Amino acid sequence: MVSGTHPDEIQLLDYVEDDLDTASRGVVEAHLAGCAECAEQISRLQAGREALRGAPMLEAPAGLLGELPEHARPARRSFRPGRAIAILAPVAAIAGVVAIVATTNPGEGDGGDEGARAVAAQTAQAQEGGGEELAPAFDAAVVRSVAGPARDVVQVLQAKGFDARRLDGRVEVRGATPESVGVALEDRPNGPVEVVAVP
Amino acid sequence: MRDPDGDLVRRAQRGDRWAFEQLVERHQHRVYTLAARTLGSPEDAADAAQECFLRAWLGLPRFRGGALFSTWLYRICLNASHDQRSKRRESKPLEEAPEPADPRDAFVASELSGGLQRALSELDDSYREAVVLYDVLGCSYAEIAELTGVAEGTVKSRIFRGRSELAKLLGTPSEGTES
Repeated sequence: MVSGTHPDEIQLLDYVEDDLDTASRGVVEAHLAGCAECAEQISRLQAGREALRGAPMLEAPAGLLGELPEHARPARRSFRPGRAIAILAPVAAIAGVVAIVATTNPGEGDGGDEGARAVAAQTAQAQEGGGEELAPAFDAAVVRSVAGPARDVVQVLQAKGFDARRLDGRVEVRGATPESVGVALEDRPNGPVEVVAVP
Repeated sequence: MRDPDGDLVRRAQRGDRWAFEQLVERHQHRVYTLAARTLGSPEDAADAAQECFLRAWLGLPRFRGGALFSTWLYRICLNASHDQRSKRRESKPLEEAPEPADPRDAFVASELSGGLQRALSELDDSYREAVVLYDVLGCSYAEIAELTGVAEGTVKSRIFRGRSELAKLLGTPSEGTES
């Protein structure tokens, strides 16, 4: 004899997965005791589950990951107004100085790119000189990840004249290009220590 | 929910290939299994998995972490598998594959030519994806809902129907007793 209306698909699945509370489970069990159709559904659900869960994880063939192209555009760090102000303030100051110099020295006025590079370099120096900008830089470029520990990597780089420091579990090299840092670390095997360059 | 892949994902987003390789190492068997159970062919699965990781690498700068990295990756894998299937339909059918020399390949080939895979291949795509994600890969209802873009109730319904049909196709002991 059937007890109550038939449970729906979701209740039957929840029953098999043991996701029902005690009261609901009791209702479904009472129904199953008198309903061959639902009992049959339960058997199928269990049989299907057993077949699927017995299926092994398949091993991927070797060399699945081919040569990776360059990222189209690296992700930027999230915007933090406080840090932006800290970074932009010296930029504004230096830009002002450069503007004055350009105005008073027309002979160098057409070197726009050089001027911009000078601003960037001086900005880096300004941040460096301040010594307080300890948050990771906006446009840090990953050199590669090398074998650690991180303090050894820092020492190696410092011994070669780089301004390297540990920061947030990685090694940050300031005032250097990724290429120059890469050359300095070319003998070091790959590993978990991320090395970034901040030009 | 904290993503166990979060640190590696952030590093890979900044262009760290080593970090991405670690992610591939972590997920490659599950991605391959998903593709293989979806497509039923080792060769097509390898192509789809490779395409999946390439797309993931290229798309990483746009991944915002709203979902788990694994959920995002499985979605890419399913898309790549669908594309691979369309490509296969447009080209000639897969020729009889030679006997694999590597025992691991032979195991995969044997798994994908067995009764379970034949039964899976008979299922509606949405049922097959649901049961493979839930029962084989162990994804939660919420994850499957997120990556398939349907409600959790629909996911449960698909699992119910997928398992039931699979049991019928596999010929469970109680087959034939249905009224």
